[in-house]
Amino acid sequence: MHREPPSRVGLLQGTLDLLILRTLLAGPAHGHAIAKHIQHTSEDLLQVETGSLYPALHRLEAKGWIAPSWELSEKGKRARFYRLTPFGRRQLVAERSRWEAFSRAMALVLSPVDQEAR
Amino acid sequence: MNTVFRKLRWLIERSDKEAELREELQFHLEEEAEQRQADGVAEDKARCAARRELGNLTLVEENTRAVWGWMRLEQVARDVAYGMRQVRRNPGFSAIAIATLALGIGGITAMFSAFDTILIRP
Repeated sequence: MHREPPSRVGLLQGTLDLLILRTLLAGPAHGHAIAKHIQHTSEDLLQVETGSLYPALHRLEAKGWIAPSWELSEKGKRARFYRLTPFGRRQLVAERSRWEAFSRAMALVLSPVDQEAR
Repeated sequence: MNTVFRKLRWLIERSDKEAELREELQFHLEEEAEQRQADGVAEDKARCAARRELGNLTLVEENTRAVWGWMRLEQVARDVAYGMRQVRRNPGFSAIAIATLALGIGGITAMFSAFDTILIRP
């Protein structure tokens, strides 16, 4: 089976999970709506690869962070909606802090560029 | 332990889960196609583009199945099936191997029962 290098998959999984959890904080949504929301909210900068969206959704469901249910979409078609569980809500907070720590660390390392560039 | 129970439950629900996943992906495809049509693309081109956007559908299903954790079980089942095919392909060798194992195991078991009855628990 085709496998991507571990580091790339790791980064993508973590950030995609965080994006999905944050999207579901606003309310339940189905997979397509989640992808569209991420795309629109990030001003088209983040385009979720649908090939990784569904494995991620099912992985989060397996971990118990989100719960699925079959509902009718706005157009009346049957769709699999996901909503955040209380456990998932706590995980969102934890992942969010981890992300902020990470971006802060990146900023610290990257910031003194002007002085060293000369 | 929870994981084991969950995966066992998934094993039983497997065909349902596969059908559900296919329906979920189908819904996604249709939504994508409709969105492109709303943007003014022709219907067949919209479907084509939506399909391409989803990527390799089989790969998506495979990756999701990997999440469900059946890979190792399937590999074991495949190895067992391979073993059975090999046995059927070499009947003579297989017969001798099976007979040797049977005699060996049977003999040891008999000996041990005898020891057990006579020496260990008289």
